[in-house]
Parts: sequence; structure tokens; C-alpha cells
Amino acid sequence: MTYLVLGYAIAVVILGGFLAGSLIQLHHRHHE
Amino acid sequence: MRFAGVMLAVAAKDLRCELRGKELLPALTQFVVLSLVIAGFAFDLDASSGPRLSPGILWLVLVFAGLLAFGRTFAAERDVGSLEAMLLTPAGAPAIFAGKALGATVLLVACEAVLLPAMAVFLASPISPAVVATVLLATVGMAWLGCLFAALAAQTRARELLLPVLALPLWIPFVVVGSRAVQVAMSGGGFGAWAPAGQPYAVLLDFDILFLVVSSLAARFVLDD
Amino acid sequence: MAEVPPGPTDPEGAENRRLTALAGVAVAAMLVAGWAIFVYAPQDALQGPVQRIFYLHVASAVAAFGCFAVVLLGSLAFLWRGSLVGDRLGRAAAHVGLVFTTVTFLMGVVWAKPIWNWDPTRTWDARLTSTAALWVIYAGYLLVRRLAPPGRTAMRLAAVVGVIGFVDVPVVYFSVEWWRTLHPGPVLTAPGGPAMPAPMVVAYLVTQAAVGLLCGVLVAIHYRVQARRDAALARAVAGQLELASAPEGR
Repeated sequence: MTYLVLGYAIAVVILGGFLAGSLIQLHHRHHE
Repeated sequence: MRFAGVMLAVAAKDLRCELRGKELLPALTQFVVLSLVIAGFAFDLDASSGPRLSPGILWLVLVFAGLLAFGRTFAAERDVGSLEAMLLTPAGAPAIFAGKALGATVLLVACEAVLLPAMAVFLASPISPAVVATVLLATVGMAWLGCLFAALAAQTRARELLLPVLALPLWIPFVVVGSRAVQVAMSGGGFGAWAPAGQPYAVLLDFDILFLVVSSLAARFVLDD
Repeated sequence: MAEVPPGPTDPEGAENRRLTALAGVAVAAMLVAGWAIFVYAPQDALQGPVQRIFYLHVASAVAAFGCFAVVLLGSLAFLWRGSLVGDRLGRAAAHVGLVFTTVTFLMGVVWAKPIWNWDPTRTWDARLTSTAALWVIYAGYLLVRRLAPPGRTAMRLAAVVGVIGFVDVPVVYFSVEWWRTLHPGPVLTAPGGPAMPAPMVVAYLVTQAAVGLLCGVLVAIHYRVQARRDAALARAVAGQLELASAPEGR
């Protein structure tokens, strides 16, 4: 059971973190 | 200029250079012998464990010898700039690449000519014609692929880092299948003395053909601008 | 140079809002998938609760393969037609594919531990190793892209890696069938239809759809970010050239 939680925790952290980082990159405007 | 002619000419040139310079072959030979000696101590090999661990040790040594050989194949060329010169001729990139790959294959085979007898002596490995045939078969595929990535890595800033990163994952099929085939051959399996039985051998051949074709097609894009 | 003010004539802001909204939809879809995985799907009789890892693990693997297929297509488009879009798409897909490969691999390891009492130092699974190899290849793709002489050379060399790397994908799949392995054989595509009860198949399909949407949104976001960076770089270079070439006194 703990393995199940561990597995999904890893997935959520990685995918969630990557999505958040991607959105941050998207909204960062390049000012010249 | 015909493909085969160019290929043989380039390979011959490389091998002549090597014979004259005597840089790579002694280094490879030394590496091979040293690896076996160290393996003997590290694995605490004796008459029984030697043959059992032989397939693994064989491929381990071959992979690292290959990285050594292929890295140097294109490094030397780059320093001299003769690769660019060759590309200016009507010879064509695929033929030139094939020549370099052929030269590298011959070098690796020369390595194996030292490695296999040494293993028979030091590790008591059962080296049969079937084993030799298997190793030669795998060498061709590994060499073509290795040379392609060596040519690629030579154009980047971190050639020593990139060659293993690119080559090792794609060599895994050869090592996996080759190891299995050598295992079968070493345990005496096989129809006749010339080929280990069925599947691993056939799969190795398939991989060879696949990677030879892929590397040859890709060579044009790697060497030419 | 002047900032683009936010407002009705701000295309970049509009793009951002669209993509963010899509991301929201994807997250909602993932939550629905979560419900399907943990509530709707029945518990596996043999493996117990840990079997539920299967859904996201497989869905991520499929998403990763899809990404690498995009890398392949983008690379081919660049090599054959010099398509810069192809190169950019390849780069975006490689980043996203790498993330999904990581998820697949780690979930696979976590799943294996209780099921096989798997000890990596004693047993060796073909699929796990091949997945790791796949990860290294696409990390190599991104490394080559970064370390080669910038511009068309980097694009060309990376594209070659992108095409050849894809050759490993069938190896990953067929390794399960060819090489003796501990990995469960194909369950979804076993002959005679899926070897799973219908509610599990439904849960998997829902998960796969959500993951596919998430994957697509991520690739789109990264493509857009790259495109903007490339455009900004091009503007900067053009600006330098104008300054450099402006003759005195005209």
C-alpha cells in the first residue's frame, strides 16, 4: 500500500513540478 | 568514384597510418591485456568461475576498447583537417564513412585477436569457432554505430562525454544478444562448429543489418554540412 | 525596445491565457483519472492495491513514446526540408518525453519492489534497462543540441540522434517478448483482447486520455517558449547587425 502511495507521490511531484515550471516559463516575458 | 573503391581506399589509408604511427593498436592491446589481468584478480577467477564469467568480461572489455578505438578514429582526422579535404572530393560522405568504419572494425578485430586467445589462456574460456563468429558479427554492427557517433561527437565541445552517452544505449542490444549468443556458443550449443544455435545468432544478424543501414544513411548528415 | 502593453492587441498574453486554460483542463482531466484509478477501478485480486500503479505507469510510457515519435518526425522534417519548426518541436518534445520517461521508470521501480521482491543487484529486467537507455539517448539528444556549434550544425547533429534514438523504441517494446524477463507480458494487447476486466480497461483509457492531454499541453507550452526565445534572439542579432552596418552620416 505504501508503495502505491510512493509511486503516485513521485508522479505527482514530477509532473506537477514540471507543469508549474513550464507555466512559469510561459508567463515570463522577455523584455529587451 | 565507386563506393567500394573509396571505402577500401579510406580504410587502407587509416590502417597504413596506424601501422606507421603505432599509436592506437598498442594502446588497445595493452588495455585488453590489463583488463583481463585485473578481471582475474577482481573477480577472483579460477578454472570454474573463469568460463562462467567469460561472456560478461568479453563484452565489457570489448565495449570499452570500442569506445577507445572509435573516439580516436575521428579525433586524429579532426586535428589534421584531412576529413574536410576528403569531403571536398567527389568521393561522397557515405563511402568515406564506410571506409573509416571499416578501418575501425579491422582495428577492433585485431584487438579481439589478442583478447580471445588471452581469455582462453588466462580465464580458461571455451573459445570455439562459433564464439569467434559471434564476436565478429557483433563487432561489425558496433563499429559502424560507434563510428557514426564518434564522427558526431567529434564536432561538439564535449567529445569524450558524448561518445559514451550516445553509443552505450544503442550498443545494449548488441551486448545483450551477443552475450547470450556467446553463452550458448561457450556451453557447446550450436549446429556445427560455426554458429551457435538459432535465435541469438539470427537476431544479432538482424541488428547488424539494421544498424549498418541506419548508420550509412545517417553518415551523410553527420559528415556533410 | 518598448514593452508590449497588455490589452486587446497583446497576442502573447492571449496565447498565454489559452495555454494556461488548456493546462487547467488537463489538470482537471488528471483529477478525473485519479478518481477512475483509485475509486472506479476494482482492486486486483492477485497484486492488491499496488497494482493501481499500472494505470499511470503505462499511460506515461505511452506518452513518452509519443513524444519521441514527435522528436523523430521533427528531426526528419529538419533533415529533409530544413524545417526550423521541426527542430523546435523536437526539442520541446524531447524535454517533455524525458520527464514522462522518468515517471515511467520510477513508477516501474516502485511497482517492481513489492511484487517481485525485486533487488536490482540480483535480477535484471530488460524493459527497465531499455527504458533507462531510452532516457539516456534523449538526454544525449538535448546535450548534443546544446554542445554542438550553435545553429544549423547543432540542429543537424541532434536531428540525427533523434532519428537513430527512435530505433531503440521497438527494442524497448520487443525486449519484453524476446528476452527472458520478469516484466509482465503485454496485458492490453494480448491476443484475444485485453486480459483485464472491463472497468480496469476503462480506467486505463481515461488515464491515458488525461495523460495524453497533459503531454500535448506541455509540448505546446515548451514549443511556444522556445519560439519566443528564438524570435527574441533573432531580433537581438538583427539589431546588432543594423547598428554595425549603419554607415556614418546617412
